[in-house]
Amino acid sequence: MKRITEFITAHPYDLPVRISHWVMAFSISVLMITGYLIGNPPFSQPGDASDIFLMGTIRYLHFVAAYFLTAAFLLRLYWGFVGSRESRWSEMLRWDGRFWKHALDEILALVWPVRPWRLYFGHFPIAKIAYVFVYLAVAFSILSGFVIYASAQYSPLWRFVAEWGLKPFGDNLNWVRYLHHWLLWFFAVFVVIHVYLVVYMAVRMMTSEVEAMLGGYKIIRREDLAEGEEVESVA
Amino acid sequence: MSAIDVLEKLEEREIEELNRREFFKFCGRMAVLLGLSQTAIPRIARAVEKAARDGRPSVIWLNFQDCAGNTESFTRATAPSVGEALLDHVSLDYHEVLMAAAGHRAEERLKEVLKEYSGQIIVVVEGAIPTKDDGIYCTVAGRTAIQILKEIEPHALAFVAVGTCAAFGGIPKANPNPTGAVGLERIIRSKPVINVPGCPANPDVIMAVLVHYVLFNRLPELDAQRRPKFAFGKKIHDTCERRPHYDAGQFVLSFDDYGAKQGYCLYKVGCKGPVTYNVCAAWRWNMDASWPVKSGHPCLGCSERDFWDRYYPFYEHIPKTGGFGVEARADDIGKVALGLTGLTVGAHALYTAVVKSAERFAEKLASKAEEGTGESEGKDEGGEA
Ligand code: HEM
Ligand code: HEM
Ligand code: SF4
Repeated sequence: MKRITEFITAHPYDLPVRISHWVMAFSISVLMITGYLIGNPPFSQPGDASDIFLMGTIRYLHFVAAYFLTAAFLLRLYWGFVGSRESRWSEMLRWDGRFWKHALDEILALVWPVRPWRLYFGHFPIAKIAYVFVYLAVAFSILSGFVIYASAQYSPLWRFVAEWGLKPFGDNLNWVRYLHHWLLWFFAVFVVIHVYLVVYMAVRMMTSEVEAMLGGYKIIRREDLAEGEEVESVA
Repeated sequence: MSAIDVLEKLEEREIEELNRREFFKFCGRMAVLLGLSQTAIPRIARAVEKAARDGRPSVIWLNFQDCAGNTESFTRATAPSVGEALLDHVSLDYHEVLMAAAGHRAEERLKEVLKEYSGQIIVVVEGAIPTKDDGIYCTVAGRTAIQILKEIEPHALAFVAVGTCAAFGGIPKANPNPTGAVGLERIIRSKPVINVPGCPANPDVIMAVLVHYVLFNRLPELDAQRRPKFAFGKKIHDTCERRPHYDAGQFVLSFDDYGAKQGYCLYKVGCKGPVTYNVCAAWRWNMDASWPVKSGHPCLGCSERDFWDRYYPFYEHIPKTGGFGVEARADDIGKVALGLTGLTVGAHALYTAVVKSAERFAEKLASKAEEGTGESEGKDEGGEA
């Protein structure tokens, strides 16, 4: 008896989502490394200050990466309102009964690996929750980061940002810096879990999640799909 | 000109000439501080002389929850000796610490001033204002700070909060704030309040605020925290003479190391210059002699709101994080969290691998027992197709 396996080719992630993902991934990596060095410079070497610009260069890289992150975030924010089904914020925040059933299913499959692992058209349910917090953290990093950034800029527009942007933080610049500093550890923990789960899925289920984030397409076996999951096949 | 020179000149009875020269020096400094050109100096001189002649605006100086540090600071304003400042350049009509009168006489004088100069009084306030229990934690002549301020408010032209306590509540407001101390801006609603924070406030900046008024007949431009822009427009870090060492990445690691001798940047011993607005680096203290960072001590951020709570510890880069039993550094907590995450993830990978191979082993046994054709083999590799 031969079982028939049906494969679906899905296109969950639009190009803007993919571009913004990889720009974000790269810029946040740079921001974490340079941010750590800004907060804890582990160096202090002798020499003539006019010949060296080490701290200045690190801060420069932080700011360049910050602008890239901001651009990627704005692109993703916009696309969440106009893009395809899986790009939409409404879909990212669709935490209904079916969603929680899927989330529970995913947790059980992580806790007891003998249970079958289900696949989805787009994001995994637990991951969706995490992504909402990631985007909130990105938004916060941009807000707090630019408030600190503006404090050293002296054009009228930047002065406006520096003075009024400080109000939500109780007019306290050191407090902004302190909260901004915590982002480092939030993202560090997220990236470890995120990359682990992506690799985990690839190894355990031979999924094409990373390929989907790179090229846009993924191939799902129909029988692996979660119950009630709606898929739009392109092939 | 040092203090000794001044004394000698006084003895030589060249007091007239000295005053004149000192006076112009003062006007010159005010011009620089206010960002005016040299041609403004004679105008400043005329305006200040006129104000001194007319005795207005009248200045009264109130002390509440304070250490009188700003009064100390004011009497060390760079150019005018305190006598001149008091008698000639501004008409300081009431100051509990400096005035000759005391007790009932002093309070009578205050009443007179309020009547005589109503609407033309610049009220300088030093110290925080307690609000808890009807403000009984600070009383002068039997009345609370709030009562005194409310009585003066209708007669005032403007209020100048000197020092971080008057401006933002400062040290009396520090956690747990037993007296419910607040800054002046929370009490005065109907009149402009100018904040000149600092612990103490820079004396020349206090003078410059007054000079700005007599010169232009209006108050200086303020930022969103009501601080005069001419003095609080830039951060310490962006005017600091150690800044090249910061940009290079050359840091003092302890107060007796090579870097300290070389004058390296104090960032790693907790300097709050990067998060503090003040003039210290450009407009130094004690006859322009020095300021904390120049003398080798990190900036504490004393002119910032809630500096005592939120800029502490003074010798560390960012505040500690409470709620972990002991106060810990954010980076230490972060490293532990990251380590635990790594361990969890690693353990989970191992766990899955073990369970999965056990499962596969059991399947193999089962299929061997069945003597089947290995139909179930496609199951795990199915995705490859
Ligand atoms: C995931 C994103 C980010 C992370 C993890 C991150 C991390 C950090 C860290 C750890 C610091 C050191 C704080 C300290 O002094 O202790 C820092 C400083 C800073 N960050 Fe970010 N950051 C991020 C995004 C941004 C963005 C979007 C901006 C926007 C301009 C920004 C601007 C700054 C500025 C201006 C500083 C202060 C640099 C200085 O002291 O001169 N950051 N960041
Ligand atoms: C700083 C690093 C990273 C951050 C902040 C990050 C963040 C995110 C976010 C926010 C999403 C949701 C995308 C959306 O908006 O729809 C996502 C999805 C994804 N990311 Fe990352 N990512 C990072 C690094 C990586 C790396 C290194 C990989 C590859 C190994 C990766 C692979 C993926 C994949 C495959 C998805 C789709 C997974 C799913 O459907 O749930 N990411 N990531
Ligand atoms: S000593 Fe302080 S204010 Fe000066 S450059 Fe270093 S960190 Fe900035």
